[in-house]
Amino acid sequence: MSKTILIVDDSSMMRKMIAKLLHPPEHIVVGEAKNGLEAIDMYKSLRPDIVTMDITMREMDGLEAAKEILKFDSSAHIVFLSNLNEEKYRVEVEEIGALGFANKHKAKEIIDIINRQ
Amino acid sequence: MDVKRYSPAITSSATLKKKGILFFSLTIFLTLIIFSGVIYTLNSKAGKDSAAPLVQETYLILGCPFLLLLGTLLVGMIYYQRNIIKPLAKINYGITRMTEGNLDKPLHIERGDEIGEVGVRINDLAMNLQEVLLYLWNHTQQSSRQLDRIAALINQLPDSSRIQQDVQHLYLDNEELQTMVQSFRFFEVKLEQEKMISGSTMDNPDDK
Repeated sequence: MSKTILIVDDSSMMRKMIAKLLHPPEHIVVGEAKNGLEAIDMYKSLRPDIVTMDITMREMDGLEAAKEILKFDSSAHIVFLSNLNEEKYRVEVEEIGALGFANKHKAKEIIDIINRQ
Repeated sequence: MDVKRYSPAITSSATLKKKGILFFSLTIFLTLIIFSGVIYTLNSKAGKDSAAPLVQETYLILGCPFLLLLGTLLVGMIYYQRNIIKPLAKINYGITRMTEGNLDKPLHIERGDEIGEVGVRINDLAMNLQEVLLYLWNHTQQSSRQLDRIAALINQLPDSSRIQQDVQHLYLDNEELQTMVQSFRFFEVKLEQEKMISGSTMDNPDDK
């Protein structure tokens, strides 16, 4: 069954790259947001199966946005993507209750986490 | 040592500012001349009778629109300065920083018009550039590790000097790419040794 995906990243190029990784029929990209505030609004209107969330973004970062989305819908599935090599984010991600954490430069990691769901 | 850079003679917001001031000043000046001319003509025709009610009424009828026009021109000049020149100067400053490798501070142009849209698009470009550079950085790290493994294998081969030279060139190319990426400052990302860590570089005294 297809999974609907909301891509959240402040770089339009990165959103394009992630969208390219996720193609029908297994995945359908239903929306793209460029910061945490847009992500929250779009989640409420689109109700995607999975959200891929960048961590460092302007206006509202991914961690804050994820907390708000999970407050709204505790069953939301969020996969964090980041450039950063820091283990500390993994701990925070697990505390928030996200689906997983992947390096945004490693396409296979992203797809594995999404497909596991 | 100060590094001299070529600066084009045109396309600065100061020139646009001067053009705007010149335009509004000339318009106000011409308006005043026309108004003065009309008053003078009326006075000449009225002659000794300049205090007559009809003449005074004529002054009033002509004077009000002229004053209104002058007021509008003054307001226009102030509006032009605040809403066109100032935000363009801000955009110019932000882009100049970005062209010098400082991608750490996005432009803050909070307007709903075309100028605001330009600011948003410039920020988008900067973020895309940051992603490309960080992607490059990440891959040069991986390439370094692969080259280390290749170099270890090559050292075990007899008569491998040519291949060793090629590997050395690849190491140098890799390092040059890393040096290029390191010359940038990124938004909420720092490059330290071989890692990308979170953090903004706020230690530049030139930053506003």
